Amino acid sequence: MKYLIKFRLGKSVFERAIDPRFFIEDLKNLGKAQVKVIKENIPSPEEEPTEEHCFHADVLLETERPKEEILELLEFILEDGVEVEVLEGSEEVKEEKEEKPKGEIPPPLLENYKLETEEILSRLRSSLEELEENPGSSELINDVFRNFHTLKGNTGLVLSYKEDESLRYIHEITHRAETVLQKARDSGIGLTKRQVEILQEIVDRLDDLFIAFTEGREESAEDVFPLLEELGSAEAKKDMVISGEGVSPDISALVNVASQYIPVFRELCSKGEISEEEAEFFRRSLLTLYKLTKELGFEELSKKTKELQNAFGNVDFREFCRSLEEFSVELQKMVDQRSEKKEERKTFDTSRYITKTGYLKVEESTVKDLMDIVGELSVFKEWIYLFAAKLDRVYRVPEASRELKDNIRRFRSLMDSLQRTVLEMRMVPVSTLFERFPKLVRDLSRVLKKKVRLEIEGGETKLDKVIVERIAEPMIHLVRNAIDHGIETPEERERLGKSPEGLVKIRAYQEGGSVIIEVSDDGKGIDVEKVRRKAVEKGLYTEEEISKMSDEEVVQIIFQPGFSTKDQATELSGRGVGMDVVANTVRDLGGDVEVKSEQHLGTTVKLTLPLTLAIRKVLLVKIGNVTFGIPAEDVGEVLKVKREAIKTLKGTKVIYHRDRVLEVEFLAEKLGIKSSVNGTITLLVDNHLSKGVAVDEVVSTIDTVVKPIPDLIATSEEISGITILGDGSVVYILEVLK
Amino acid sequence: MKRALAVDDSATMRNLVKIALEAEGFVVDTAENGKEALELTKRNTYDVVITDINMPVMDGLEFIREFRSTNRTTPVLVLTTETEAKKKEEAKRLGATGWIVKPFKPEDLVKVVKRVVR
Repeated sequence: MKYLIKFRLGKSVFERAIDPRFFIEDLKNLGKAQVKVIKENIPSPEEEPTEEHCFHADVLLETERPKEEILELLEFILEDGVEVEVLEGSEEVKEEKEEKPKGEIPPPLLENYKLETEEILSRLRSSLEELEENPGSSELINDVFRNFHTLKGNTGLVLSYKEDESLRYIHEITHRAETVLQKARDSGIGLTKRQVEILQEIVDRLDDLFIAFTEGREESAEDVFPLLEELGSAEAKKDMVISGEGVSPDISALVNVASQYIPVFRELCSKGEISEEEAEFFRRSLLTLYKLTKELGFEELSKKTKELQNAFGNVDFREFCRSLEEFSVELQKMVDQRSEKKEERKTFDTSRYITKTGYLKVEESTVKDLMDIVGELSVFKEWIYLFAAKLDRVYRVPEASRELKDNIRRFRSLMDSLQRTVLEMRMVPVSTLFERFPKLVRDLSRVLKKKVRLEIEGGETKLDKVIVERIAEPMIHLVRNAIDHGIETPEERERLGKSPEGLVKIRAYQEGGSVIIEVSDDGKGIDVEKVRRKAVEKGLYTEEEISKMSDEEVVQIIFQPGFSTKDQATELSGRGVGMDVVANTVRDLGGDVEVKSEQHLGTTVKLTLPLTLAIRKVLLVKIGNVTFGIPAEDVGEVLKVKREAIKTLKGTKVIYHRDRVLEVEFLAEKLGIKSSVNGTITLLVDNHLSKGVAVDEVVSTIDTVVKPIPDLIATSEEISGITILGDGSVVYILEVLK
Repeated sequence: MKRALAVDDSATMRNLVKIALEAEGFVVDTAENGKEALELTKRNTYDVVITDINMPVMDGLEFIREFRSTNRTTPVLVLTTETEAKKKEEAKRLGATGWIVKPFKPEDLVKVVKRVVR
């Protein structure tokens, strides 16, 4: 092959930092080349390119390479004045063999892709939530567009390594959605509420596909195409139709059509005689059914429809109706099967809603090790303090002691920031858990036929990652409960004068050393009388006990094992965890759970969770000459009171404080230790102002790693763990204020 | 030693570019958007900049416009898709040296980079 390549380049290439000589060199590498430079005036790096600058040359190239390769090589400058002429040899374009990618995806790329896809889907979810409120915002639309765009690009990249059905769907879906979004963005018209809804559904399905991909499953997403169609056509009213990318008909279309036609068929047949209009209906509906069944490959059904089409008008109407009825029964069967399948897909596999955050790329065990080391270090810090004191008192070198003490300050502040940073590493925003709830709520309301609006507040509140993961399932259960048992059906709500749309609200906020998560609904509330009856029936309480309990106390019974008020276990509540498991999980984490409910107004479940599991603030107290620790988050107040202030009421020691009567417990008595104070007592009061425990004195507050005591050697319920102090002594942690 | 800057809001893309060019002996810096990229180009000199077009904060086109106002010698390659023909033209007009169509494999990228960097 012989080519003549003419370079007639000017200013435009120099403005783009192109050096045409590179291309000449590349051409030389392809074969035998003769270069004739006609005119060369290339600007120096400092020079501004002008019309004066140019590069004109002819290259005569002899090579075996096809023309496309040469064109590709010169791709960047072709439009700037390069011509490729074939002087000898055929110009025939060689059929390019499409390479079917079969390789493996490089692991780092795959890992990146997975992490980023999770992030993209989560961003899409939150942008779409916002768009719901403000469907015209071009900024948000652009956000959504960009995320679809990035996901498409990334998916295409992975696909170029390995074919995968789920990814193929993701690629196609994101491509189509992107096209519509681009138009919405560029036209400035914005999206309709319905379009935002569709996009949310699409994101849900993308999520399903992505999970299928990560699990190596195949999942079909044909159901998304009608949605995409609608997404595009919703916009088409305002704009042009997206170019006809033949959307394959979906089975759901047939299901829809069939379930609409069958009742009409039956009604018309029952009449015995039909009008011309009705006859036209038969003809049209049979044609539609024929087309759909044929396209979808339902051979039998399509053949039958054809027969019916032929029979109509040619045979006796009653006979036609008999055949039609036979056919309808068959069609109905198919429809039922399909809808069953659809339902099946919507059953609740909780794992689908539990987000694993993708940001922490460190092995969790490493962070835990680091945490332990920091814990030990902080213990060591205490030791240095003690040593400084010892230097002065025991070894009698006060100068050294002072110098050490001065420098400890710096050490301590470094230690503190180290501790904070490590703690921070374990903290993730609760939004990582919350972001799946919109989908959960949408899915549940669909299945349960309820209208529910979800409000989320405080997603930025941070919690220990382990805690977030552990409460995922209980949270799902609470949301599910709120919708299943709390929110009434739209009809019932209207009858009660409520808005037909129920409200489920999830709220997170920090309160002192704890994070509070509330799940509330404005549904029917808990029937307290029913709980009382059930509690007695189940033998949890006697008639007498229950009659003495306040309503507030009674509703808490729902957290007890073996309690369930729902008369009939529904499909949803029948599986998974119960309220007792919710309570257990939260308490195991050192948290607490509480429910408030008012009939017809709704229910609120409040989870109180520790910020972190790793390090706890502990109040060191002395009783006699023994030191104990009390978790600081349990302590609401520390009071100094005169012994006389403590009264005896019906055999119980109490104290009046802030207009409340607090039960007082003397730890010394309880633990059998001789107290060393008599005049003034130090009282620790709990967070609810319900009880106080008396100790001799409060020594200090420390941040420390609390180690649980193995069950085997735990002898008392009150001792929840141990911690080791700087001097090596072991301190028991008492949970006396829980 | 050659130095490259990869600009993309997608970590997957950024890393792909980084991995591909590092294998060729480049030192690769990355930026998540045009603004970050501009900051970096003010501090460092690059032999090539590879940038996405659609990015938050400052997109690729805006970046090229700004960058070219002070630099006419560093090649800039844009990452585009088949559907972005108009954007590609716009990028070229603003001073993009060349382009590479997504999805691409590392070897494709290296081939294109070698066309503009010596």
